[in-house]
Order: sequence, then C-alpha cells, then structure tokens
Amino acid sequence: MGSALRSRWVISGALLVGAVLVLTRMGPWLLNDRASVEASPSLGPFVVVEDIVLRPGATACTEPAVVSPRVRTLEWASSSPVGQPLLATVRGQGFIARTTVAAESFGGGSPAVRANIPSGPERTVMARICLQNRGSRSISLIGNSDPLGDTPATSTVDDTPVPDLQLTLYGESRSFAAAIPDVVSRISELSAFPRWLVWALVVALVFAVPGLSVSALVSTQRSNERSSGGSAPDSSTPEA
Amino acid sequence: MPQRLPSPSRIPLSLRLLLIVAFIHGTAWALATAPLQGPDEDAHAAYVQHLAETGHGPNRDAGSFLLSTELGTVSKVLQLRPTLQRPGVVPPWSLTDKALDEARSLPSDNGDGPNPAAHYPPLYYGLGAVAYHVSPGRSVLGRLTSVRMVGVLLLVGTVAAAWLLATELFTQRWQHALVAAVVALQPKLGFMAGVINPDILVTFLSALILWLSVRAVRRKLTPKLALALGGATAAALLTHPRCLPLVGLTVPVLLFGALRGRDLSRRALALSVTSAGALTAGAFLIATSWSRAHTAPGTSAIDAPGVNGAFQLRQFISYLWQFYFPKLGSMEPKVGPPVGYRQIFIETGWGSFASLEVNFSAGVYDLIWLAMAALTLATIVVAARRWESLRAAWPTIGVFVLYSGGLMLMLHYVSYRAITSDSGAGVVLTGRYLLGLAPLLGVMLAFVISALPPRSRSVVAGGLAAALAALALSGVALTAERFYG
Repeated sequence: MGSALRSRWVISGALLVGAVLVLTRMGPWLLNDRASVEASPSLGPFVVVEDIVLRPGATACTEPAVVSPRVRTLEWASSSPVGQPLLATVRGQGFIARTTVAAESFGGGSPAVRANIPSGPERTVMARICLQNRGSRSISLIGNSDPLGDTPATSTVDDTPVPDLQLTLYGESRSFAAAIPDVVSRISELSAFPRWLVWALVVALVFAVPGLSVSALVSTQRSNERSSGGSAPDSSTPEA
Repeated sequence: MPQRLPSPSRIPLSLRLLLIVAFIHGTAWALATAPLQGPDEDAHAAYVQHLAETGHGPNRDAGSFLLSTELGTVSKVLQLRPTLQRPGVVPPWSLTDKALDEARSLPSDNGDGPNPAAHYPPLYYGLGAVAYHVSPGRSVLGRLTSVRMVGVLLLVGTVAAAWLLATELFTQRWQHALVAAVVALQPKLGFMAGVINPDILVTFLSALILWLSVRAVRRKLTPKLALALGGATAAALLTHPRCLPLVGLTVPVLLFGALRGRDLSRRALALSVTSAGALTAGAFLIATSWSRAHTAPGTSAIDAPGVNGAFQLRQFISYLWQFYFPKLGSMEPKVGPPVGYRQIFIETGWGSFASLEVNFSAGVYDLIWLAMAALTLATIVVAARRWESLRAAWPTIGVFVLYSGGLMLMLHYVSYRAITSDSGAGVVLTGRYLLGLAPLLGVMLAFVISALPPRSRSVVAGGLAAALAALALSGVALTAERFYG
C-alpha cells in the first residue's frame, strides 16, 4: 500500500514538473500579445506578382471586405523603392474611417503599407477599402491574378478593374489566451457545433487529455501492484 | 481457445480512459481545423457528398465540377480554397450564415468530377456518406463536421486495436496502456482523424490487421481468426491502394497458421483460410474495377498519373540509402528533391498540420528527432540483451518486419518512380502515410522501458504520456490560432 502511494506521489510530482516545463515553454506563446489577422479580403501573389501602379491622385479600392469591430490596421504591400503620402478610407454601412500613411513609413526595404484606424465599427460591416496616392510620384502596389487566390472581393484603380490587391486587416494585438472566446465562437460558426459544446471540449482538452492519459498509466501501476502484492513482475519481453 | 473481446463493463479502466482521451483529442482536431483545410480534403469531401447524394462515385478524369454547386458556393464565400496553405489568410467567419443561406437551395449532387480522389475504392467514402445522412447538423458545414467525426471514431478504434496488440505481446498493464496512449496522443494521427481523409481508415485497418496477425502467429489460427483477418484485409483493399502491402502480411500469416494448425479440424481451417483468401481476392477485384470505372481508360488503382518513372536498381538502392543516411563517397547524388528521413518521419510524421503550413518550431522537431534516434538505439541494445527470447518469438518479429517493411518498400518504390518520371510528379511520400506504424512505435517504447528498474517504469511511461499530451495540445492550439485566432 505504501509503495502504491509512493508511486502515485512520484508520478504526480513528475506530472507537476512536466506541466511547469510545458508552461514555461508555452507560456509566452499563450500570453504574449501579437497582431492577429481579422480578415484577408484579397490575397497576395502565390506565384506571379502583379504590380499595380497608383499614379498621383489615383485611388485603389477593394470590396467587399468584412470589417469587424476589432479591426485596427489595414495592410497593403508595395514594391516601390520610395514611399508617398497616402490616404486610406474604410466605408461601409454607417461606418467611415480615414487615416493617412506617411511617405517614409514604407518603400525601400519595407514593403508593408500600414494604415492604422483609431477604432473599428460598432458591429461587423461589409466595407469598401480604398487607398489614395496623395504624393507627387507613382507607387506600385502588389497584387495577384492567380485563380487559386481568387476571393469574392474585387479591386479597382479609379473604378477600372485591376488584379486583386493584396490586403490584410489586423485586429488589436492580443494574446492567444485572450483570443480564446473569439476562437470558440468562430469554431462554433464554422463547425455547426453549439458554442457551449466547443467550450466543454476546450476544458476537456486542456484538463482531461493530460489528466486522463497519466491517470491511465497510474491506474495500471495500481492494478499491477494489486495483482503482485506490491512488486510488479519483470516480464515484458514479447514472448514466443 | 481464443479469448472473447471483453464486454464494456470489463474493459480495463486504463483503456476506457484512453478511449475517452482519443475521442476528445480527435474531436478537438476536427474543430480546430477549418473546413476543407486538411490534406486534399476538398476532393475527399466532394467524393463523400457525391456518393451520399447520388449513390455513385465521382470520376477522376471527367465531369463538370469538383465541388457541388452547394459546397462550391460555401467554399467561395468563406474563401476556403484561397485559405489553403497560406498562413495569415483566414476564412471570413462572420459570413458563415450568408454562405449557408446562399448555398441552401443550390444543387448538392453535381460534384461529379474531375476529382483526384475518385479512383480510390469506396469503403471510407461509404462510411462518410452514412454520417452525411444521419448528421444532426443539416447544413453542409454541419454535415462535413459529422463526416469528420467518422475519423474520430476510427481513431478510438485504432487505440483499441493497439491495446489488443499490446495484450498479445506484453504481460504488464502499463505496457498495454503505453502502447494505446502513444496512438491516442500522436498529434499527426489525431489531426488526420479530425479531417475528411481515408488515411484514418487505412490506419485503423492496418492496426487491426497487425493485431490479428500477431494473434494468429502467437496462438493457433482458428477459422474465426482466419475469417477476421481475411475480412479486415478485404476492407483495407476496399479503402485505399496503399493497403496493398497488407496482403503481403496476411497471406504468409494465413499460410503459416494453416500449416501449423494440425490439431484443429483441417477441413474447417482449410475452408476458412480459403474463404479469407477469396474475400481478399474479391475485394481486390472490386477495388480495381471501381478504380477503372471511375478513371480514364489505361490507368489503375496503383498507377497514378506520373508515377511511372524508369526503374534502375542501383539508383533505387542509392536513393534508399540517402533517404536515411548521408551519401557515401561512391554514390551518385540522390535523385529528387532533398527530402529524407527528417522531413518524412519527423516533420510531416509528427507535425505539418492543415495542408502542411502549421508546424511546430524547429526545436521541437529536433527534440522529436533526438527522441526517435535514442529510441531506435535503445531498442537495438535491449533487443541484443534479450536476443534469446526474441529469437524464440521469431514469428511475431516476422509479422512486424512484413508489416513495416512492406509498407516502407512500397512507399519508397512508388516515390522513387514518381521522382524519376518525366511528369515531375515529385515526392509522393509524406508522414501521414506512416501513421500505421504508430502502434509499433508504442511497442518499441514499451519494450525499451521494460528494461528499466520496475519502480521507474510507470513514472517514465507516465512522463512520456504527459509529453505526448503536451505535444498534442500544442498542435491543436497552433492550428486553432492559424484559422481562428
């Protein structure tokens, strides 16, 4: 009996040490804030890069784009060596946001054209997202015409259709742990599982999977000790 | 006399716990992976839907659409195709209702091809079609989730088969539990259980056949056992061409059993072995005729397009060596891309989720590589120490060699032919094809740990189970973040 108890303590201790080690490694991944993709209305190139020229005063637009209340950053890609001042606009169902992009924030080694908006809409809206060149020189935006990257959104420059502009919307930075309620609700949407069931599964996954796995091994220790009166027989080789 | 399977109330506690673990693990993967994002999942899902809606399989080389208009519309609105293999691209979750509303009245029975999976035999897709029809969720996304749950149940079955295999090999309960735990927690296996793909049925049937074969050579082959083995092999042939090497296991096992079973009624045994052979042959004929009926003339279940390169024995041996080991001085450089043991056994065998784009960090793969290398070395050392008892168990070892060797030889052969083909089909070998080896991995671990002092065995086994659980959870979390975070 004492031996069984000792084994359980040893196993519990090993589990605890394991859990601490795992959390040490996974903790930063779970808890550190990072930008999360909220929507990818129009994708970047998979194989062939399309350069879309935006002359001074011209406006490139993409629609429809799903803009949720969490959206804070719009990101295009540019292949221009020198940036130009730009005006980004998000317009959709009772929501409008405008913001400027400084010329020096992109170009050269930095292809990402980022526009931060102060706040997203109160509820998710379908929007038209535009970028106007307010500088004196043309810039090139990166787009794609790959059928595999085709999305429902279309892009135009001054209302003339062009290949899809690469456009990604990011939400406020947050950790994966903080995102779990949204993750659960999105999984529920796409899987047709009720939300409460997805929550139950998350709890089961985090606690029951490691707990039951180790318990399964511990319970065999108990049954071995019961059957052998405290000392397990040494007979483990595949037998003829 | 063969033992009967225990009634549910007599299933050992540890097995019951591990079956629950497998169910939760598989279900988590089914939900963490966005629809149609598994390997070739669009083709497999389209096959299931077409079979369910029309009673016929799609065609590999002809037809109007891969996806039915209903499924295609949902895929289009939710950007499921562009999301494939592109980290940083996510489906617009909030458009789910819109997608389902648009798709509701559209045809669901016109996904007749061309479908690259159409030449596979229909068993897995038939099971999927049943789930499609009985699904509590009536939307197409609900039905796809139900089809994924078939894989989860097959994972649970695989864990049970692994446990049964362990009970044939080992006397101690912790060893049975460890073998089953390895299968229940292997992250790639859990992932494949959670997507629509026949590989999980291949894995389940492989584990079943491995258990039955070991049982047949360690005990006496009975008529029931012979029929079970024949039935399982027939089912495997009706699942996937990749199961063909299993025939190379079951035929010798049946012959071995028939020749050895002198104290049984020879007539009954001969009859059952013949029936098992007939089942297997019948399934092979059905599978090949199904394949022919659903492909363009001139191709078969085995010869996929592009897998027809020239064969040179010397080059093949060099390719095999360099797949596992560094090139020797006298060898030509390896044919094909630089893909070898690490990429197949470690990276895509333990990770590379979704359509290969979700991965553990390089450090985690390094650790797995080290652990596998240590396990291989330890197995050799322990085997050398127990050589006498292993030699006495040669029929069992023979089963393992035929099982794993047959699979690997076929995969390497097909991959080599693809690499050397003019069409540039590339490497057609990936880690998920090796999932049938998971029970053997558990057996190796249980064998090696048994060499440790008795008191430390459960602790080491428990620690391994905890490490595997951590790996499994990390994989699910990484995938959930990729699609939904």
